[in-house]
Amino acid sequence: MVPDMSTRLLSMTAFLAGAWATLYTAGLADPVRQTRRREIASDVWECCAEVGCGERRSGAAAAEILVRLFLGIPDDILWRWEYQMNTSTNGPVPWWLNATGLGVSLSALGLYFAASLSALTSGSSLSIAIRDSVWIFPTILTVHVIAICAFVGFAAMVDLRVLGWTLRRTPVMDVGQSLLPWVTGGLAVVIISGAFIYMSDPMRYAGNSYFDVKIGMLLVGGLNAWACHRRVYQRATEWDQAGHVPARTRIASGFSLALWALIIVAGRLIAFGA
Amino acid sequence: MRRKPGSLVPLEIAICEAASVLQQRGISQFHGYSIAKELKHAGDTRLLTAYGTLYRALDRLEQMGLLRSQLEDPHIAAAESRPGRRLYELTAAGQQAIADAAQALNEARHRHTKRTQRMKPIKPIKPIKRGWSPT
Repeated sequence: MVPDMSTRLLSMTAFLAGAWATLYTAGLADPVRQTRRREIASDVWECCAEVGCGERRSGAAAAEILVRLFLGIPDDILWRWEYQMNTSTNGPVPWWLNATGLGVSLSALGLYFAASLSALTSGSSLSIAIRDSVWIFPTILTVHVIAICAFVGFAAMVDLRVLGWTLRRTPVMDVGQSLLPWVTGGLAVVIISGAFIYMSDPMRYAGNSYFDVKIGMLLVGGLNAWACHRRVYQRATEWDQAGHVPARTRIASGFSLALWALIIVAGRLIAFGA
Repeated sequence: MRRKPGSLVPLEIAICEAASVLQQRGISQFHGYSIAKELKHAGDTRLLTAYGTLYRALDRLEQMGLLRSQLEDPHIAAAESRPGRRLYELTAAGQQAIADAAQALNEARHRHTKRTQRMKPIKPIKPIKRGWSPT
């Protein structure tokens, strides 16, 4: 028998619920991960079983699974967050945290050198496509701004914790390990979308003094973050045990906060610069 | 907003109450879907509680010691060709929490009644004259 549309929809939503559970439990300890995935699979199965018994229609069941899935996403993320916060161990700083700062610096340098090739890139098909399309540029710009919010927002939270202005009861290491993956993710999107924005009109950005200022500050900010992750944050466990953060680290965090704020201002002023 | 340690949010109270209802019906162990259905029935809502919201609350209740859980014997699940269930059970602390919540609710209702009795009756609003305009 060929399954009808609503049956296929039910299978698809059941798959979606399972896929989401797989995604947000990825990387957790085996018993926790397996228990949660099994629990969701069982819940979805019970719902599908009612359809099989004829107690409800497959379309309604599919809609219910989908709604329950989407309405529960914030709680799933918070559950993961809470689990991470409760079980994080003070291990060494992972390699990708070191890569975050270096990534900012390298992308800043890349953009700077790309600016010198602006005459060449401005005529490229990619540049023309972004520039001439009605929706590509606004979409990229929107993604860029959202990613900046995530990147700078989460980085600022880490800096504020190091400064001791927020989350004082949470160890610096826990805040770093929980938030810096989001900083890295945000950074990746910022770099990619930023490169596309630059590609839209390289000639314009190459001659813009605010663009130069932004790139310069990105370079400094990236090097500061890299130095912090490479040298300073390796001692985060010691700070948590001692109960205070050294003045030098707090100065670096304050500097980082100011710099990200200035980078946003410079980025905004690019639109008005010549 | 940070909640007071040991206090329960309405969903957690509702889960404990639903668990208690199931227990009275002779179902001492329940799984997530059955509690979601019971919550829907008790709350008279159209939708079951979202997956994330429900299982996060169940996790919190277990951490508080109001519920305890265990994974179902895999042979039973295999015999019925379905995924294994996580079975929850209301603890004595959970039953106490329901009683405490009910008492707190009664006290709040009592306070509210006393407050409303002390309030002066509202004067009736004069009807607006016909033809009145703000200009």
